[in-house]
Amino acid sequence: MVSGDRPRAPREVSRRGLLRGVGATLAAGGALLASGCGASGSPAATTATTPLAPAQSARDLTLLAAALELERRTVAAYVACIPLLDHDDGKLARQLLSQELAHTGELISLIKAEGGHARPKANSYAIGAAADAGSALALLRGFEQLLIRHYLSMIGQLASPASRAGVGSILAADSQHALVLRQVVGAPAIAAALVS
Amino acid sequence: MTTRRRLLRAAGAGLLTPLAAAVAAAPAAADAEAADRPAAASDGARLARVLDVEQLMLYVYGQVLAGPRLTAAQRASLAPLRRYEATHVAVLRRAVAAHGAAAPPPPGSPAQANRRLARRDVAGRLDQLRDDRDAVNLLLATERVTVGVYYEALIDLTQPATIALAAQLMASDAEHESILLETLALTATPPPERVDVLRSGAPYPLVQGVR
Repeated sequence: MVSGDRPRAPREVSRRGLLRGVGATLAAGGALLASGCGASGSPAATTATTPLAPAQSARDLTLLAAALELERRTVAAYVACIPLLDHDDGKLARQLLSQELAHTGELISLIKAEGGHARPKANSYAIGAAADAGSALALLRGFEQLLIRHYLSMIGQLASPASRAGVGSILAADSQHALVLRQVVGAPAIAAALVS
Repeated sequence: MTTRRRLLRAAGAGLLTPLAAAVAAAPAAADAEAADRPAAASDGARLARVLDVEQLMLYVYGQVLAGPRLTAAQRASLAPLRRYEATHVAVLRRAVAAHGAAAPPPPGSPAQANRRLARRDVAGRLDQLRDDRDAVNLLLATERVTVGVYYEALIDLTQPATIALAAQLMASDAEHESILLETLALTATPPPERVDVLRSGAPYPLVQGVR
């Protein structure tokens, strides 16, 4: 039996350390994303042993690239918001940031596994504004919800079984992030029987 | 062919991420367990396998919540999870029927449920719960198996709509894991700080369950 939940120790770092960590983790000196934008038609889903057609790989790479950009925006939001939070909420947010960074790494791995190259991280990301702890938490909740909706909308279109499994495990983790952030603000932990 | 063997072949073809390669390196015992499962020839059959585990999960919630081991506060906190699991079962039964597949029967007794738990390598049995920690740990272990079945389903399913449904249900069961982990954290002596309870609800960057 394989134990599938992999623990990663949360890192407690200063704001400068956060920014350094983000830069170091996301630095990608590789080439721009391989061609494949605009692939048309519904992908025929494959089993683990069926090689992907070029059009399927191209579509997967487009989908994974979009997910990576959204995760990077979320990381940027955490980096910007953590200094606005109190000690305890900051401690929780740093744990979630560490996991979001792992998500970007996982997506980069999935892109590479499908024969693509992850686009280098941008110098800045549009994340909206937060002036205090309340708005910071609202912003972070918004990003986690955005990730959940994005993954739910794209996972069925992924042709690669490994990418579907990887994205599913990221989605499940982001659902937990959204849950604990709801608890921080006193909202019901679970909003409905099915995540959406 | 077992999921592990498929992944190993894919690993050899250089198609896997490090994550999936780690899955492929699972102990040989996983192969023996997988070989006993009926072949999932269609999305309907695959969904029926998931339904089988969700029905077991629902049954275990029912038994634990009706039993004497949980505190009143724990019972109140976990009761909604049973309702959500009932919804999961209903959704899956509809999906299985829509695919023309047969729904497996749910457990009919604690003994049947215990046998199914044993088959899934879940530690703990319904009639061997000594205290609230045992009860919550049993629920958590079963939820992790459920998440693991969804993880496998994401690999094996073929239709976009069923893949999306499996992902949605997997994420929902991951939320249940969070609640159970927090409930477990609250049983510690002395009680942890609130922030540490919340942190226990999202311990891992990747949630794949147990297989």
